[in-house]
Amino acid sequence: MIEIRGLHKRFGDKPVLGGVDLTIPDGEALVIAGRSGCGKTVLLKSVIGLIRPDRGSIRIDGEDITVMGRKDLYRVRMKFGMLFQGAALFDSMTVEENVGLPLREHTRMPWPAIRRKVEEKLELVGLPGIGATKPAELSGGMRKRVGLARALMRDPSIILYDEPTTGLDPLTSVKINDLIAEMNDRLRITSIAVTHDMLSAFKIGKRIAMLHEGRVAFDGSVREFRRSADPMVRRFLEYQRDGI
Amino acid sequence: MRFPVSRTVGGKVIGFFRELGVFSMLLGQVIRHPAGVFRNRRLTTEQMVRIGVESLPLITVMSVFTGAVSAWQASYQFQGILPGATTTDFLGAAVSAALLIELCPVLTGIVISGRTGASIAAELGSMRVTEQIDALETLAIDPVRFLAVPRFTAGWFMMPILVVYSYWIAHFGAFIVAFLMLDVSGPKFFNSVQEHFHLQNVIGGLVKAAVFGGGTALIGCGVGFAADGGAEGVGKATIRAFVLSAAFILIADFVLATILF
Repeated sequence: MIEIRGLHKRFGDKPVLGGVDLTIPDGEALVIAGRSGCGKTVLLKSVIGLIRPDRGSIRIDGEDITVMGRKDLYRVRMKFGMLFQGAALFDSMTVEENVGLPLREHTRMPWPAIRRKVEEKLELVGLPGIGATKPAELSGGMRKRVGLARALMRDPSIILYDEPTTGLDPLTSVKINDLIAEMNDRLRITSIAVTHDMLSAFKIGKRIAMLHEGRVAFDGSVREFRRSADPMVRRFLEYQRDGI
Repeated sequence: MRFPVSRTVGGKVIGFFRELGVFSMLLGQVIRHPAGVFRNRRLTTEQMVRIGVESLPLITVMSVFTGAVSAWQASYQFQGILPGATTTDFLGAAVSAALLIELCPVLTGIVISGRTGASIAAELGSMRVTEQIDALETLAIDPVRFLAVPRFTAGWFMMPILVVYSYWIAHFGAFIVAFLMLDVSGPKFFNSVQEHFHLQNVIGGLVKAAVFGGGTALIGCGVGFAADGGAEGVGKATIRAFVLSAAFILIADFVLATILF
């Protein structure tokens, strides 16, 4: 379970998070929505300890990561997988080396066994046989899927998605959304996705938390979100519908 | 503003000490990971090839001409100071001492800072702005152990080897000029080198080289890790890495000279 309490973060004079409270039970598919620059990615990166909050706590299975040293933080991070906005694949490595890196670094598994597991994960994301390819030779959608395969490599119990469909064409976005929804259903892992694309949010989330002015302004199921009469939610949905 | 100059100077001084603190902390983190060298053998070897083997063509050109111009300049400067015949007697010794103590270590260091330090900063800076370093963190892989330790190790280990190579090539360049243009015979040139050879000069030069190599790699890593602001930020980091490592080499050269010689 992930418990976020009173999370504050500011960059210079600019407050970004102003007291976020969220509880995410095991196996939940949560989407954090909100307008660009509202602090969604800062919140997501705080959950995995990439950004230290100024105040507040983030408990992962009861352990507060905001007060942890590096060694303990790395131990907790072993529970996570993360898909970055631009996939963040290592340019100097092949797809196979990228996806196999977590096992190469954290286990004593021989490389042939790692390669078999890499191929298994690449098949899971619908990209078998591309192990020898370099990231630069892949399309945006393929890069995201390879990033997802890498995030799944250690069989994490929590997976984070940062804007999974940003920069993709509509058809590829649908494919990525379907893949994430399928992973959530099949693997039953806790997932937190950050997006401002509501088509994506409705497809991959079961619950939506909407950030506004550094706080959670709405928290409920997808159904409740769609039917909400809250003017701020309505305005956001209308902006989305009008393509703004 | 009442004290713009003092504020600017004060800001620069604070900035300098802040930078010094950042690089000292990075050095501390790198040194805390001695096992990283063995754990990342493949990465360390890759960096050794990149810093060492791939720099050989540039070091060859630099060394030949450094040796050549040293011989020519030494002969010119001796004229009027030493009697005619003595000029050629001391040419080999004078050129050799300058190459061993100063010219080969410093010029190889500057060349490597331009070629390797800047390239490390560009590579790590680009990894920083495309979130690859964050990705390493989320995979519970320490970026310092994975990226900085192999580069630092390759830097301090390969620089002395490059400088030994530079010594040979620079002496060859000096001899060619002495023989073909200054009428100094081979035995005369090399006897002069041998008679005034001190092992301490070589050891001192190699100690300098190791410090320059490790420092350059460390500065490249520190500047790359701190890069931000997209492609423009990476470009600025590249320039900064070269400027800082060149300044580091010149300052460290003076400090080490006072300690070693």
